[in-house]
Amino acid sequence: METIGTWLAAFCTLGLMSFAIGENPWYRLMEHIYVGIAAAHSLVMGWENLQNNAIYPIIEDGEFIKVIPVVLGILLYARFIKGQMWLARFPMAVLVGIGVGLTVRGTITSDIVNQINATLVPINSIDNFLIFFGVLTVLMFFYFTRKDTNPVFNYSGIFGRYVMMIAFGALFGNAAMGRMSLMIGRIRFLLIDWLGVAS
Amino acid sequence: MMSKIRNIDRRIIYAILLVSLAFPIFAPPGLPFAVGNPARNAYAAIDALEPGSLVVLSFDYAPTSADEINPQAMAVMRHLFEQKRGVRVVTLGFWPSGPIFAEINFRALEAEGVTDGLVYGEDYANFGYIAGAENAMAALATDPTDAFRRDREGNRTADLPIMQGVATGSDIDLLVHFGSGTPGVPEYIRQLVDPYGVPMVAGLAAVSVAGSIPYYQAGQVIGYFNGLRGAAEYEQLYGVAGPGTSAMDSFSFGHLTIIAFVLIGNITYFLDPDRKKRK
Repeated sequence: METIGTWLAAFCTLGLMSFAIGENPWYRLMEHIYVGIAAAHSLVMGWENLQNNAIYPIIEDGEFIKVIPVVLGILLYARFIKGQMWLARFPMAVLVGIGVGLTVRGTITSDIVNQINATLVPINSIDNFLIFFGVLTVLMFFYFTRKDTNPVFNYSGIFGRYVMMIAFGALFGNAAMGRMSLMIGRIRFLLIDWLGVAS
Repeated sequence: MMSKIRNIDRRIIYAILLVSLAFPIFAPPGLPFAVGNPARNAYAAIDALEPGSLVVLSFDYAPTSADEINPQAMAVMRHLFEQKRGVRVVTLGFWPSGPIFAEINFRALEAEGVTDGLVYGEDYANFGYIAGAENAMAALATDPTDAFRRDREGNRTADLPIMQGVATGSDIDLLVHFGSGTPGVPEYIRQLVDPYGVPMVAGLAAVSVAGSIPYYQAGQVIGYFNGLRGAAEYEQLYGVAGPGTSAMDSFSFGHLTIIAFVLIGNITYFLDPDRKKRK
């Protein structure tokens, strides 16, 4: 059984890799299979989640309050019923309201206050100097409502642009590294697990 | 000539890169690599866990990132199950595919005998997947056993010995999040790390690292693993070579190939006599 799985995985891997040569039916087939399996798997896990957090608590523990989110969840599908689409707005409003409330609460502390705190560092090392100066100049780059006659603003904006370029370069470098990791993983699978020509 | 080199068929570049990545698998030269501070800090946080501590391993990635992140998760789980006996390990996920990786890794370690003597429900437990992304993370922080009512085995989590004395997120001693997107680091920080003071270590896909570094600089994340390289660093610190370490040579060769292509591209561009005409 394991051997069949390995051969199947190799067949799928090679099919997806064949896209490097060009668009072809083998790649298309594998792409569709992957999307189908991913959707089916999500459905199964979603059902398990529904059972554990709603159905069992209602039936076995008598927590009838959980009927409310179940009904709201079912109402989401009203958008597929012609003339009853409006019913889907209620659960959507609840989802958006709770989501926004929770996110905003956390964002102020975590993404604004704590991040500003981390920027206010004593300028006693090169690292700290770069953090302080980099943040200021990047902010200056996005300060659009000013006259372009002030050389301090202009030069700091230019410096801020280079700071962002370096950040984007690091981002791209990491992205390339990540893609290479995935490729290495697949090559190792093909050579070691499938063909068995390396160890 | 220069123009021909610059316009080389991309498939030739793919083939050369493929060979450069595959070659070290046959003949690994064992090139050295350094361990960075983020990985050292992450390792130290896990190594400092005392018996009785509760560590949550959150698996939040899909098969598309598994080759990068799974070696990290495997190394951390090996460390916890081999060396940190007595630490309570709970695995869960906010991505549908996450808990499957927890199971796959556990079975692999089980086959090696690493998990011998561990009791499900006392030493470790798999809580499975919960839908709701950031909202669900907030529920976990408020009351873990209420958010995850049952584990993957169908047991009530509140009845498991591993969860005794756990009322809120602040009872979690360490959160290790393996992730490649949303929900991920920012969501955990907003809902669990900052409000409840839970220390967090992140195992990340390389593409997610740059976005998470500000949280590391701010001290909201203690340490992180950067993709497959992060796994190799952890394996080196732990002293057991695994898939991360063995992939490092391929990495180095791949990087050298890309650097060579970048140099060739630039040299041919600047030496091309037609360059000025195009301007």
